[in-house]
Amino acid sequence: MHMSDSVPVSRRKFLALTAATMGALVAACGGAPTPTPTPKPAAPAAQPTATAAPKAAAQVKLRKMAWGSDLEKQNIENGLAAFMKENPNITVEYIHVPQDYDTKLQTMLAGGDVPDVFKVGDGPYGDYIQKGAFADITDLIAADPVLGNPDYFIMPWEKNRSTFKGRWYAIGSCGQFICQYCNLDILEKAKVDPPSPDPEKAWTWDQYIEIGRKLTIDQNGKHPGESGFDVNKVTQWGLYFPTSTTYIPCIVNSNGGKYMDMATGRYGLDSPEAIDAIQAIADLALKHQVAPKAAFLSELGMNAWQMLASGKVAIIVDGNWALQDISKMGFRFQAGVLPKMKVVATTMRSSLTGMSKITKQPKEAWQLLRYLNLDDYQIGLCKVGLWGPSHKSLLTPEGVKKWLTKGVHPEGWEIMETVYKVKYGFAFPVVLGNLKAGSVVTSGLDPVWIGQKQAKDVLPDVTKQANKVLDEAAAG
Amino acid sequence: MALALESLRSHRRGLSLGQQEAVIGWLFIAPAVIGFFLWTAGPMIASIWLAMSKWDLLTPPKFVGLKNFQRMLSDDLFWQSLRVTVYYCVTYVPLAMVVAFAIALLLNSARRGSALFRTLFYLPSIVPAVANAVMWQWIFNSEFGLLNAALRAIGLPKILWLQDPRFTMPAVVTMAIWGTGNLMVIYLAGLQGVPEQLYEAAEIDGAGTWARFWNVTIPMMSPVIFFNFVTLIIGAFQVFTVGYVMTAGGPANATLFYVLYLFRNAFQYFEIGYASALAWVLFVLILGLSLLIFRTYTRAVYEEGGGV
Repeated sequence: MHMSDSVPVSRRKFLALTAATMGALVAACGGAPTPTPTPKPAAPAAQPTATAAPKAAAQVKLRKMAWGSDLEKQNIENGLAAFMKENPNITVEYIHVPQDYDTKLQTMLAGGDVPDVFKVGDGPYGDYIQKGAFADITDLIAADPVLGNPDYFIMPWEKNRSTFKGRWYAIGSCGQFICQYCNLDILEKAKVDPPSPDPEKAWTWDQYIEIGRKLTIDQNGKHPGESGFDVNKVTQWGLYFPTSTTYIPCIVNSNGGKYMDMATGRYGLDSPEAIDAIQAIADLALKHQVAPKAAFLSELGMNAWQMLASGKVAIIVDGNWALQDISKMGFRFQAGVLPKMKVVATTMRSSLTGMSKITKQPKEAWQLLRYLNLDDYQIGLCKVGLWGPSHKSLLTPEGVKKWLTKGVHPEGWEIMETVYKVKYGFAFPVVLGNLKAGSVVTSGLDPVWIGQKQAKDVLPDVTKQANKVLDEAAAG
Repeated sequence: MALALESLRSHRRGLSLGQQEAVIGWLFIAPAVIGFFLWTAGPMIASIWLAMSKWDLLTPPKFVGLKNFQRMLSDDLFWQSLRVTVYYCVTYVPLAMVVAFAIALLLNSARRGSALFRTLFYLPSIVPAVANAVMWQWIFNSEFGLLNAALRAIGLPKILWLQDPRFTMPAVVTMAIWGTGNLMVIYLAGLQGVPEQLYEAAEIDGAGTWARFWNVTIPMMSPVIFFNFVTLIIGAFQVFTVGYVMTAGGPANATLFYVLYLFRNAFQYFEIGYASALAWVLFVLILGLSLLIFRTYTRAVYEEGGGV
């Protein structure tokens, strides 16, 4: 075949044709970019009482999206199966996104192809609200016979973490807090009492360090502070306090500081209390040598509880959600409240679940969303140790019995749920731009954890920078 | 095929043979052309406009002119990511060039087992990037890692490879060097294409090993070296995975690569407009650098017979 020297179908024509095809395709993919939150008139069949869904009801398909471990996925699927059994007219497809969740969610939102009900972390929650991802569910909650009861959730905590400018866009999935876990075999051998679940018996910071010293041993049996102790040849660490921003707020607030000010919605990490608290956490490894340096566990891709179970670490700080895995590891453990600097404090956080502003089935989406916030669903995940309750009804003596499970929850766990969490837990305000501000804090603190810089040298600047990010996000 | 062409012809009686062939030609390249416009040119053109907008993916974009570009000037993280990327580029590129070339030379001169070693050295570059990063995370682990165990064995203190901002980049570069199998194979192919008679002639003229290397191997290899140099630099400016998987840009932003920062703006900070502007700045940077390098082409590269 030889090259033709005349080109009868001009390039221009061809390009025009291509452009037209492209335009059509793009338009087809575009989705609905201008959501109108019209609460559609209810489908005639759907009634608030779940059991009475008549057969005539049209089949509705919902999609729910969340992240989580395999165990969590299994539990969610069980819960959804129960929901579908109660609501035969609704089929829920569960989209499990264990990684890069926000990337996936954002691209779905951009394409107008949004799951009807989805979960977000409390970090970017404010941003998702501001960008119009969530439907305003304030009125739906108020009108609900169960969720609308002012005594249903733990207040004002639920309101603090779920509302933005006075309106509800999602509901916290559960009530998570931070505590300590210990390996009982190690503690008994060293004649150290385990941390108590009773906040009145919280260790002081000095006691915490002293216990860490007793439990840290090098290969010659020496403890930190003794002559001849070799920090490079430690066979068993006493403590492990993760230096991520999930955990350090507890100690900052315990020292009388404000990790994040509820009233202003800004970081308060430049206060002397915050600086001292963060330095104290770093000093566990750097000065007292009772904890491993830096992120030695996480850099192994290993969880802290695996090191706890294997006896490499005697006491770790972790979330209540770790109980789900710890209780399955087959070793003797006990859990207790965090050590305190001045006052007992723990964070009370969780992801939040809401419904899409552009869902085509707002009625059914709300039905699913409210189901996810009923006791029954919460109980399922509390029983396995993944969640802590966020409903008052589950924190009464009778309520506790519904989820407290032998073989999962260690002795006294319910005291942490009913007293420690409720009385000493604090929430974070819902703010804009917090993912970026959070990464400013994280990267700013990196040199502190390895002793290259002092907390007092970095925090004033880090706080200023992080708050600048928040200010800019608020200004739009 | 012939049948299809025939039927096409019969339907288009009115067209000359040349016209028919043009239609067929366009049809054949249509998938590539449409794909290019839809997935490459389209997004690129869109991103020019986005680079001048404020867009969070969810609400409609707002035109802001050159604000995104102005913002970069005062954005510390932009400069940090640029510094990090340039640091990576100036350490990784020369090292990778030399190491891969040295291995290729050794393999080329090997009498036996060259196929085995070639496979062994190439193997790392087909290991998935994430698996690679996870494995090196173990090697660099401060407590139990292979590297620190080796240091300990010879009585040196342990190094916090992935926690100490001073050591993270050297660690990342070391890991990248390990995966230069691709480069090595290209060098090896080039080496095997160097005509034997040139070496023989040089030998007869009394050239020793070094003289032959400098006056035969290097000039004959210069187009290959040049090619590797250019692609390495472009690749180095686009490095992402290691910062994303292994170090999360840390510690203290010591591995906040440019593209990682771009990605974070686009998909974590709801700043698609700013991310697009960052992408265009990167494009211009790489383009400028490539043009600069190509200007040295005639001086740096020996061409036999006037064409590569």
